[in-house]
Amino acid sequence: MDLSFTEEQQMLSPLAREFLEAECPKSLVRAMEADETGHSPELWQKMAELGWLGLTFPEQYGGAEFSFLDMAILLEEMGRALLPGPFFSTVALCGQAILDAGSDEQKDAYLERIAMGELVMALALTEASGQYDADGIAARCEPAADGYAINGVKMFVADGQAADAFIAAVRTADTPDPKDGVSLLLVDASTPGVAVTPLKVMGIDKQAEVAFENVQVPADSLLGPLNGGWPLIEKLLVWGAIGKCAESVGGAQAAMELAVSYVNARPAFGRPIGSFQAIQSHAANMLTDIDTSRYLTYQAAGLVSQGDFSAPEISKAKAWISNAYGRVTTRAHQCHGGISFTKEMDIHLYHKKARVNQALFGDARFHWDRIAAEL
Amino acid sequence: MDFRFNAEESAFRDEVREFILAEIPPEIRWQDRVVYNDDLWPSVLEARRKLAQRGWTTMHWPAEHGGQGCSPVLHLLFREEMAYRGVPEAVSYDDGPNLIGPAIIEYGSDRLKSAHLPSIAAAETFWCQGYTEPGGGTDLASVRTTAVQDGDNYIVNGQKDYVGGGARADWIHILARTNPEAPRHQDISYFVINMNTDKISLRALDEVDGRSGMLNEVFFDDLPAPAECMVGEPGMGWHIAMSVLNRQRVGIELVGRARALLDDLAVYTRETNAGGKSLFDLPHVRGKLGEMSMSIEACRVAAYRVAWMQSEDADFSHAASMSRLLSAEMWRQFTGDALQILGLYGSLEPGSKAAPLMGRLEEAYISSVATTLHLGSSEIQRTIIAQRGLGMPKE
Repeated sequence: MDLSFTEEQQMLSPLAREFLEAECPKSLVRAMEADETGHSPELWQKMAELGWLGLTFPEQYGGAEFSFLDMAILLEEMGRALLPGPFFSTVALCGQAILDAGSDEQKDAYLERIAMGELVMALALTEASGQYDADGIAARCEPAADGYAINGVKMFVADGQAADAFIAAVRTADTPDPKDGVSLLLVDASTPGVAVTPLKVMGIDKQAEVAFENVQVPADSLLGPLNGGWPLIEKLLVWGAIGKCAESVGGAQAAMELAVSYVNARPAFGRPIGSFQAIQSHAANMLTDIDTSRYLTYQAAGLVSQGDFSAPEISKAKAWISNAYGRVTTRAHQCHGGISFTKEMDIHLYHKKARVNQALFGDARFHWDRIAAEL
Repeated sequence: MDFRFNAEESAFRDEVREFILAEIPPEIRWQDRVVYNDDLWPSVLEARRKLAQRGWTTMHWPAEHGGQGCSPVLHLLFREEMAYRGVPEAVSYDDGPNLIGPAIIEYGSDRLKSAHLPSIAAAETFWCQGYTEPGGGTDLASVRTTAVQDGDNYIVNGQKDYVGGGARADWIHILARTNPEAPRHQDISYFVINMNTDKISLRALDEVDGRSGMLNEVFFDDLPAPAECMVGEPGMGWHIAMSVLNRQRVGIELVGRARALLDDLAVYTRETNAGGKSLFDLPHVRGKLGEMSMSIEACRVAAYRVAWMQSEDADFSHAASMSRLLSAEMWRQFTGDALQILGLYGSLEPGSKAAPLMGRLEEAYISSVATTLHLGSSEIQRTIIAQRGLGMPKE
């Protein structure tokens, strides 16, 4: 057991925090909340210059060769800043997937463009069922001239409205076990027949419905083996779950800090309300939730960095944090009182993020079920 | 950042497991309250001696005091494995080597060290802790027991409450007021007192689980304690007590116990029929078992984090309180949920006909009433976390 960070890891958080405090102030967050795509190309370019958009990629693709644990550390800071935009979808999900399962040609075609900030991607996984199981993947994909034809509707596609290209999960065979007939395809958003309809999601998250109507893609669009897409989806669920954990830890920390500094300064009944035991109890519960969430996340991200995608510790982290972030923001509201229901305060932004993150990549019930399967 | 045990740690855990299976008398495993049991006590003493012979009683002590100087993480691993295998704390984590021993090493005189450390390391003495007093409870600094200097002695008068294992103990470590003129926290001193005297009397408390004799009230009546029995300097008692409590608050024993009980519960629910399918396959039961495992893991991570902070010499006081808070609340929730899963069978006590899992979960559930109070109530832990962890103002 070694719970220390490397020197590089120790430097990553303060560097990221400094950058995000300067370049991603709450004014930008609020502007992006109102924006349809939630994507700031200027900020995106600056992140590319920092090397963030190729964080885990090999050097040959313009990457920095960091680990997934490093990615979690960066996502924690992004969650703290409530960074809007498609970093998570593009880098933490699609980039990881292409790096993991892509052919050399696909890596050449996509990774460097992602790292340079020239390509925004989104994962089109879930559909109308809103479930993360193989049953839910119904979009049909049939062989067609020189490739495949896709018909179907993907839902809850994060950053779908900003994406230049998608990784789409499609059904390529009807099999007794629905997992055995799923494939992944790289689909250019400009392909005829692709229709993106924004969904209105609470807070800063952007999601879209992405409809494919007789969308023709070439044969080399297949990411990974035909009918063998499910193992990569399992990995995507792990990257997504841990990534959301890390984001949530940073967001919860920020919400707690706002609450604590507010209650220490706000007088009522002749003293700062932070001196009341009821308020300190909220604060202690917040800190305990957050510290626990943080180390559960590091444990899970560390395991994934070592190539272990099946450890129950991953589901234990996401199940815990799915609810812990919401517990923290609820307490932060209580600490602030009525003013936190107005946009004068930032707490609502964290609250909404907590609620959206709760369901993404499996809520607590989804992961409890997985944990139980290992008992 | 790697939470996995390395090869050395894994090998040590295997060694501990083999030792437990081979050397700890089976009749005392899963007998947490063995201290009150006359029939089993000789087996406890035997297990304690074997542990001492193996050198593990003081594995975490520095080498110059006869220990092995092993890391806090390795010691926590040892404690977790002991708890997971049902070894009573009277064997695996008792006051001598874990509370008063380290306090004597850190604060005690050379004379105190040579008087006590060898016998603690050899498991020859059994210790109990006298902190809480009637009317004091969580307000630990409201100590009313006095120790008034009289020549070479301090004359001790007063009463201690909820003293676990008091009737078995050879020695007690206590807080007493030595200078009534000083401010509240600064006139408390720390003493080690020989229990083998007619100046100490005991009264057993009846506990809600139907047992008596484990917890005692301890009365001191003009007891002369030699001045060299003081740990540290006069007035250092509060400071020493806080460092002892911090060590104690890491909740790994509850984690180990809960892991084992959850394993048993998973097997039981898989084997129990509930309307045509197994109890385990009912979605709400399965979900609850997953939730239990998650909560135990959160406590486990929090405990190892404290050990890591100890090994880095970082201030772990509020982290220890977080570990205690999480683990104590987990234990209450876990045992309560477990009883609910067991349904009507959940209320059957150990020894009852048809009690599932030998009634261990029922016993654990009743114990949980004390868990969120012992070592500082959950409320006091939260106050420590808020004030020390977040710097929030005192009233």
